[in-house]
Amino acid sequence: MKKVKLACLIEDDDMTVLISKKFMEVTGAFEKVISFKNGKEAYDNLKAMLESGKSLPELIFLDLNMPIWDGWIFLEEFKRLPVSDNIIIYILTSSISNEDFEKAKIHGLEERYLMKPLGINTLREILSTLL
Amino acid sequence: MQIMNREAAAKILVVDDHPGNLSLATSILKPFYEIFLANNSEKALLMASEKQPDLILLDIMMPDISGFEVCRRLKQLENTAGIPIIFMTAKTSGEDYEKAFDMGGVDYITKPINSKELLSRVKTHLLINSQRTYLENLNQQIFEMNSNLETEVQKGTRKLLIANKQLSSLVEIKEEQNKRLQNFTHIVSHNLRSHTANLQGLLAIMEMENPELFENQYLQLVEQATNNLNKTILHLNEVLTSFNTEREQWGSLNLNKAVNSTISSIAQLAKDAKVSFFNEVPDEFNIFCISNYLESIILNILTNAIKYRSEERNCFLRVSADQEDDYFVIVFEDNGLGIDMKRYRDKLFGMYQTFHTHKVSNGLGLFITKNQIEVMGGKIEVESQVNVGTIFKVYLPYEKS
Repeated sequence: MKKVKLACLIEDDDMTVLISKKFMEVTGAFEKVISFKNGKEAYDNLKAMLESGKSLPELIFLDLNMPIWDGWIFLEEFKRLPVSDNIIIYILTSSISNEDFEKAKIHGLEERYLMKPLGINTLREILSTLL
Repeated sequence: MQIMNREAAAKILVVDDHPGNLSLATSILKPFYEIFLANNSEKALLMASEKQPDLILLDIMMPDISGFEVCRRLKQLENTAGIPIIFMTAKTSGEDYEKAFDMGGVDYITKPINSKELLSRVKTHLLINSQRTYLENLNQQIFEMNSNLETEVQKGTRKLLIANKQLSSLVEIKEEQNKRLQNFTHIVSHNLRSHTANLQGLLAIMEMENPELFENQYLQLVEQATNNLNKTILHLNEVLTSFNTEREQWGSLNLNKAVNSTISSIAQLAKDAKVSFFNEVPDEFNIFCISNYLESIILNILTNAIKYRSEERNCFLRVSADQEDDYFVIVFEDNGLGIDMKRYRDKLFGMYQTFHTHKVSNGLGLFITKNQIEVMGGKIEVESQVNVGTIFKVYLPYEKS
């Protein structure tokens, strides 16, 4: 089975990071998972990686409600970076607000809108589309 | 008519220092008018004030005070200034004639008095005067009406201003409430939800790593409680979202089409449950309403008919509509399980009320439905009999369309 070399969690909630990482580990399909505490931190780090020629994560799980930069700001700003299209972003949120889902549609992410908690079955489905 | 009546009852004051003239004038005028006599100027002034005659015949040449002076004084007093004065004199010089008009007299008669001339002039001036009084009254009335109108307009304007102020403060209150509601909704849909998501995630990890732990009854209950909590948060979010007035878009909705489209959206569900829907709404019923509310109301009642169908018979729901006074009445009649109205009437539309031990009921449908109907200025009535069926009548105001 092909593995995801690098995945990224953008999430301010430690417990969610722990849960998500645990399930990612269980699938055995992730070589490395990095995480950032908010949209701004993720943007700065990913930009630095890009500029220094390092390869970026293939898969990003993005929370919506976060301090400093929320998920939406991250999306807006990240789009402007000269990154290749094969970075796949999933929204991973606890939000059950319809408004958030409508916004996700605007970003074309309605098919990649996940509800917390991230479960093993969801992850396997995602992996099957990837690999 | 008014003018004629006034003339018939007219009072005339005759002023002359010669008794002969007084009696002559009396004999001419008495048959037609009420006559008062004064044989000197002092008396004339007093009587004019007291008797308020409609006309004064005034001799110019009098021993104490001249007729011109009497006239001048009468014109200065408020209560006699308006009485028309006809001068009488033996003099025929041009100067007197002019002075008589300058002093404010309306006419001039020379002696010896000609009875026809006197009657004719008196009649003419009484008529003129009564017409003038009539016009003055009319004018006064118009003036009063006008100023009343102005007052009313001012009052109305003030009321409108106050109403406007109240309205805008209502709008402010509503906006404020909306904002609070949105904040509250956010807490529910994001903050509360994220904790339950974590609980669910942690339980899933535990179950994956140590499945044997879940033989413990308490842990099973923790899992059940977590799932229930999550459901409750979903429901609460649904209710709060339904209260958000920013979604209220008024417009015209064709009821027949709305019912049809709802029926087709749940056709599979209905087929599986063997519930038939009949749409008997007339084609021409267009209702001015908040469209997404009315659609949600229809959907709610239709899915209720599926949820609470009777397994003992073929079930149906019939939708019809009518006009009743100021309302459109939408009638939903089913032959499902029915509701025990004696027991539940007061609670039927409350939050979290379910009346059947049914796995799909969440106790929110009718609560939201009632709220949506009331926001549109309508009402909902229900008749039901256990194991016979239920009739929901939704009343929506007709006048607005």
